Amino acid sequence: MRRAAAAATERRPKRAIATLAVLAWAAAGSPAYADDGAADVGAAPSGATIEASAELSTYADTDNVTVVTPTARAGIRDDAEGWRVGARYLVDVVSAASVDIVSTASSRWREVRHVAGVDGEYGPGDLRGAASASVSVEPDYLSLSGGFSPSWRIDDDHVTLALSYAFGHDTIGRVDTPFSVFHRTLVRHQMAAGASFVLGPSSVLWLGADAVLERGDQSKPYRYVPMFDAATAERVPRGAHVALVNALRRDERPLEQLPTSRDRYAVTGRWLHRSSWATLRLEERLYTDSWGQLATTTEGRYAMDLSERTTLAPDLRIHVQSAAGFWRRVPTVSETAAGVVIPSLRTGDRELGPLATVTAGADLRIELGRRIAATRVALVLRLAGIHTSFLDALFITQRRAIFTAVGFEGAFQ
Amino acid sequence: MTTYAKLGLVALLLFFACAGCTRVAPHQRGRLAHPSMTQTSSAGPGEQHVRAVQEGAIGGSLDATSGCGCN
Repeated sequence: MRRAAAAATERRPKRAIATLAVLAWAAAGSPAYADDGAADVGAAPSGATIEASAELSTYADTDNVTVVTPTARAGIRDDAEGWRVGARYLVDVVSAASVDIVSTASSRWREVRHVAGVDGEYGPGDLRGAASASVSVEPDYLSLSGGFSPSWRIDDDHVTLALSYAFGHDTIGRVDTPFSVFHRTLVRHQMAAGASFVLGPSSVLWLGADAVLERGDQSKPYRYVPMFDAATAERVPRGAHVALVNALRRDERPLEQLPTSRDRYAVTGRWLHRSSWATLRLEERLYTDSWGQLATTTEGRYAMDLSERTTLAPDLRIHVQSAAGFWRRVPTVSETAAGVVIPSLRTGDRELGPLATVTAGADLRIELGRRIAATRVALVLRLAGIHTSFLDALFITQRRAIFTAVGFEGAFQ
Repeated sequence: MTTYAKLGLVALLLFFACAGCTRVAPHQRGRLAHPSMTQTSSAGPGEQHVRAVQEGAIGGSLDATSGCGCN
């Protein structure tokens, strides 16, 4: 054991040197290109290009939830003819022993979700159309979706108008129970419209709005909500421990019940500016919905070309949201002559409560060849830290998470 | 229509008018065509899914079904 540890210690510097050498080789491909954005588009596309990519991402947080997500995508495109088709496959492996699960005396569970999708785009002229469809399968959840999005370039390509519509049909069930015995249906209509404006030789602005109409009962069939007497409510503080909650709560623990319709609206502004060697991207999204939630999401990203082959892009994202109108950290029952009255709307989903999330991360992209070559392969690495503050929730007041992703992208002409 | 709505409409029309004033010739569009100037999200599918299930005010995307690690 000790010898193995010593060997590992000995190997570590060599491995670090090798890693640095690879990065240095990639970075030293050629000096950072100055004003040559056209170089990437300078080579006129001829014939079809086969594209393939794969990503392995991991997520782990302090609430004992881990998610491993391998994704693969393949497609073929012909920029001269103006078409593209592709397909993707994704697997989510979720393992969870979160405080919500522990509080119901349940043990850790694992679940696998499979997602397959196809998409395509056609438009040799100023009018383009894209369409996509996907299916997501879990033991207790089936989701089907499809949509299309036309776009139209006008004013000599200075303005691009875009519309989109997508339809989703979800079947929500319970594990080990056939959908024919128990299921709920959730239908979604997602509509978006927007336009991008060329503000100058280096800047583009996007303004857009979207609406999502959801119809159906999306209450989680496993989520039980603790109930309290009004007299004990004030003794349950923010972040109250499971033991305290269980000591003070009533015997009733009804299932979650959410409103059966939700209308979401959002507006988004995005500004991109390209300097000689870097791209700044700033984005703001404002959100409101019929459940009474308000939110703001601000994102900034600065992609720096360290060389022709290497791009480093640090980013920062801040999301702040208010609670849904029916959110109660300490749901209380009322007692009448007819008996105990439980609130008709109730949830323990702290993502429907007030929260603030800060994400800081960085992407490193290394082209393993010249960008204009007939065969292009890139390695993409991502590391991000996520901190969420739950401002009015039971059990926990914060959650910290690490997200990592390793991806390969290839294009072969 | 409220005063704020009218002001917003006027501001939007002014913006569109100003945006239309800028003319960028095709040979000046090298920076605009750079791969990093895309409007698509910089987040990959895994990260988008995490956000969709963990932020109640973000969900609604058709990929945000379940697989959230909650119960």
